[in-house]
Amino acid sequence: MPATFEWAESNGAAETVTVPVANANFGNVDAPNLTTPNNRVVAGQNSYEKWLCGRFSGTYTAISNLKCWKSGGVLPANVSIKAAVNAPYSTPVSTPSAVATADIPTAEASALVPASPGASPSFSGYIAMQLQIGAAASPGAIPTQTYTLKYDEV
Amino acid sequence: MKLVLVWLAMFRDGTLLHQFDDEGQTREHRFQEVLDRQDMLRTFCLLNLQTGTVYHVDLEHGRIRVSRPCSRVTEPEAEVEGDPSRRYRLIYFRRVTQRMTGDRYIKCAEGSSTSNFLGFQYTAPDGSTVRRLLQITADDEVYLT
Repeated sequence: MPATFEWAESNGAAETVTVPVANANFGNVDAPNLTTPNNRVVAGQNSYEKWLCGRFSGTYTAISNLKCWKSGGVLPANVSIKAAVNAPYSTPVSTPSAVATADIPTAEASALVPASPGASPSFSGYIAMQLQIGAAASPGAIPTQTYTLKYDEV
Repeated sequence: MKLVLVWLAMFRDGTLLHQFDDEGQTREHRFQEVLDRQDMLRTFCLLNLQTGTVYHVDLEHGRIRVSRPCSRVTEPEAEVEGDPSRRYRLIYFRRVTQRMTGDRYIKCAEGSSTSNFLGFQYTAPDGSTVRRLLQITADDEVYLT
């Protein structure tokens, strides 16, 4: 059977790992599975960092060639999503991230490359992300964004 | 959920190794077992259990064939047929794309898709690596890459 893939999220100073997570909603608290319209991030503030990774289990020989990028959707003016991969875990913050400092790539050619998981079951490298909303951002919903994680398995 | 495309390895000593030992796909062999005997591998096949299409990689002669039911057409052998004096090494992997979408937030596990990549590679006289690869979907769409 193919490897079983699940999204995982880490939270808290002591790193509590939740597997699987139903969503990875950005919000103003450090917790998994946030619901909207609660936990809003308002103009001039940042969300708490999201520390995600992929959990791979089941029968596989190797997982490799991971790529992660934002493959669809346009962000409004003064709104950005910062991202980085493979940094060691640190307590999520809502101050400007010192880890996720670059705009998330929007093409596969420039995709981030999370570290491959080891033998089953195992986790990929971390994908740290933060939603940053400038003070001049307009209120309202952000258009739909699509994110892609691609990998090879045997 | 059962796999639509499953592999079958044929070795030079005549032995066969099926990905699954049973139709219910409850007893599976790891691909590592093929890699462990790669020097003895003669043919590697992907079988589409829904359509009956078989994708063969002949590692003795550097050939790829696609055999479809009710058809005598084999393809795309002409494009990839190789020299039997070379040593052909199997390429096989599944490329999985996981997507998630959201607006103010991100939803996970929104959808996924998979393509199978099958073929071989060899070292040319100038030292370069030459790859011949098919991209195969569960719907039997085939692309020569």
